[in-house]
Amino acid sequence: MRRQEAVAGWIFVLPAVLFWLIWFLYPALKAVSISFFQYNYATPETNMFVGLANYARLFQDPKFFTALSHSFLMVAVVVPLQTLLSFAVAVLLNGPIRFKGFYRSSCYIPYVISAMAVTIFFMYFFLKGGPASSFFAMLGLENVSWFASTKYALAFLMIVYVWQQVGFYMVIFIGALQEVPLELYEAAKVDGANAWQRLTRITVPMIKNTTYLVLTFGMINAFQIFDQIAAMSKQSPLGSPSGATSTLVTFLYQQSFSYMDMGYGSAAAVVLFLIIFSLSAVREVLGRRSD
Amino acid sequence: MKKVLALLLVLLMAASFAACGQGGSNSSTPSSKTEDNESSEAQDSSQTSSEGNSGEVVTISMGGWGEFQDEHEPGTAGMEEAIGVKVEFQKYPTDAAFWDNLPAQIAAKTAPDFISLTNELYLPYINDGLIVPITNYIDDGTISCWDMVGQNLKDIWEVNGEVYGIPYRQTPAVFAINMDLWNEAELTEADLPETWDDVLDACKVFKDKLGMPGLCFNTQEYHFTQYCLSYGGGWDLGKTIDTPENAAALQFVIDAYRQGYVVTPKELGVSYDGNVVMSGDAAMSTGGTWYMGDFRKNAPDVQVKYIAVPHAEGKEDACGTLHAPCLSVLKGGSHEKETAMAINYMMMSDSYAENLIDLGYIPADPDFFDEFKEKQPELASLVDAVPKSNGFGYPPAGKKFADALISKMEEALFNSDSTVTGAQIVKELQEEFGE
Repeated sequence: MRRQEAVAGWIFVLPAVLFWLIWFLYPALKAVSISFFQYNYATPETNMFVGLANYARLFQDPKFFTALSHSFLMVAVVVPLQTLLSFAVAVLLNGPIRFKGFYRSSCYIPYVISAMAVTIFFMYFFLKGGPASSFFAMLGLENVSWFASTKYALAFLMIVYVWQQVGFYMVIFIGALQEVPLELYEAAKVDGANAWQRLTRITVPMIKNTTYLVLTFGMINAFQIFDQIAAMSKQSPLGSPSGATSTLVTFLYQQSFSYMDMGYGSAAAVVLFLIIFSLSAVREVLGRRSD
Repeated sequence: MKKVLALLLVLLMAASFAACGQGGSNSSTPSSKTEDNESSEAQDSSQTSSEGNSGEVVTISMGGWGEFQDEHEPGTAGMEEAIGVKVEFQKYPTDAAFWDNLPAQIAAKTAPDFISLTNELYLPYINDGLIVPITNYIDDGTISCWDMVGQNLKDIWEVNGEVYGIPYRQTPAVFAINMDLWNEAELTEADLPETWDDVLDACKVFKDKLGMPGLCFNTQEYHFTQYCLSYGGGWDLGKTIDTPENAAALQFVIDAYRQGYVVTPKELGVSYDGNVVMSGDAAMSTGGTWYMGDFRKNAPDVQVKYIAVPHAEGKEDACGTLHAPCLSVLKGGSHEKETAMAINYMMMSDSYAENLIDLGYIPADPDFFDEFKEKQPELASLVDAVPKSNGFGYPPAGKKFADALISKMEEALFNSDSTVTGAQIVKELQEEFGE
């Protein structure tokens, strides 16, 4: 009976396993193998094995390091910011307020709108002399079109990205907040805990696993940001202006598709995978230790 | 019950796989390349195509972006009846999407059979073997229109002894001026610029009288090249990047921008210089004759004057580029011969050339020059600029070079603290891309 159940189980999961093998594992392994080749998929007859040459080239390429530093900066700024904001919004919208559904939907809508459209919409706010640029000019920043400035383009990208992502993580946090037993808050109130203490001593520890999930998702997604950069670059090279918004993903896309250097692009993709994998593993280990 | 359910599910799954497999085997049918391409607009009708051997109509596809169908469709009128070949148009959203997808499509055998290829960043595609040489079709008479093409265009498209495309039009670069703004700034026809210093003088007037930048400069390699060539410079396939002329040309742009005489489309959140001139955010821009069609369609009330690209003082013979797009056969097509026939048919069609003239393009065949001058009097002077105009001459690195040039100029223009000079930029480019 057990054997029969096992066979039936395998049959049920077979489509998903096949899908995963064909569309995830095979391309991933193929990318790793291509990274050891000088590879042009349009002219396969010229492809040749070059060993680690693509990796050696990568670590001597200043453009790669620029892209790498931008990716890390994105993650370092965006992930904590969007996590804090989405948590704060979730706490607010989980409380006893009127029109809760309306506010929740309003916060979530940016996430379902096309990233291209959102970016273009924001560009008009951050035009030279536009409302946002003028506001920041009053605070002492330059009144320029942010998305076209090598100084401000990355900050613009972060603002657009965070604005769009907060709604998604807010929904995840709301789900977690609703799982926290109300009795804990009531008991804390009886013991004289104020709102801040209840938040930091009950809510935060109780939704710790969700926070880890949000941090991991946030990190992976921030490393893979692409659409907003493409919208900002328009017909200029990806990462425009002057590479100010280049990231690992735009770097590997450019090498692979714009310059048809698939081996080199795949090497960058492998490095990106290793970075994401390592950071996720570190987060997992730290999470387990704190448990 | 569980067993029955499991059996049913297994059967359902098997049926699904069979259905998927069926689709796959259809898509890999030999000689049905256009059927493979799910993104092709031509997919439905291509089901009956590719039956050349049985005497039926062979359907091939042409790829492009923008308004390319308007440009080429008239050339295909009557083709099906005349030579048994039908051309369908496969449109890509942008030129970037076109070029980024093409290599993968060629590898997957879903690329169009032929395309319109410009003489800008074409060398890497030829060197990588993505473009099929058509010399043999010229030799065997399948393509007879090659003889009609002017020598200047033949020189562009004959690379290492092989012909890689049939040029169908030629377009010298233009300098477009929004005359409504020009008049508003109280400038006259006599003030129309011949040199870049004249342009600068006009910019000062625009700044003083209208408080706006006079010149639009699009940070794209096409526009940088106009400035360099009109300063007597140019890239010459990477041999002459680091020259005083190129350095002076780029420095002119940098200085004019830093003085507030120039606006870029990028800062305005658009990608096309024509939009800036149309919207009146600047009065002048380097461009091409495609402006004519765009202005007619999108801003018919704006008066525009097209003149030759200004030159630097003392460089009277210097001129801008010559755009000479051609019809090229892509690698991997299963109907190479029919594609060559279709190209020849289009080129031999008078309605094709006449449509190009109506759109403001000078046909490749010099026999149409007089008709062009007659129908497009405001562009007539461009015909005389054809012999003076130059190929783009980008280094073999093509897009890599273009991206590096744009990136360095963006640093000079869009970083308010930048002290980068034109001379530094050309020196660095020469080191990286010089031949």
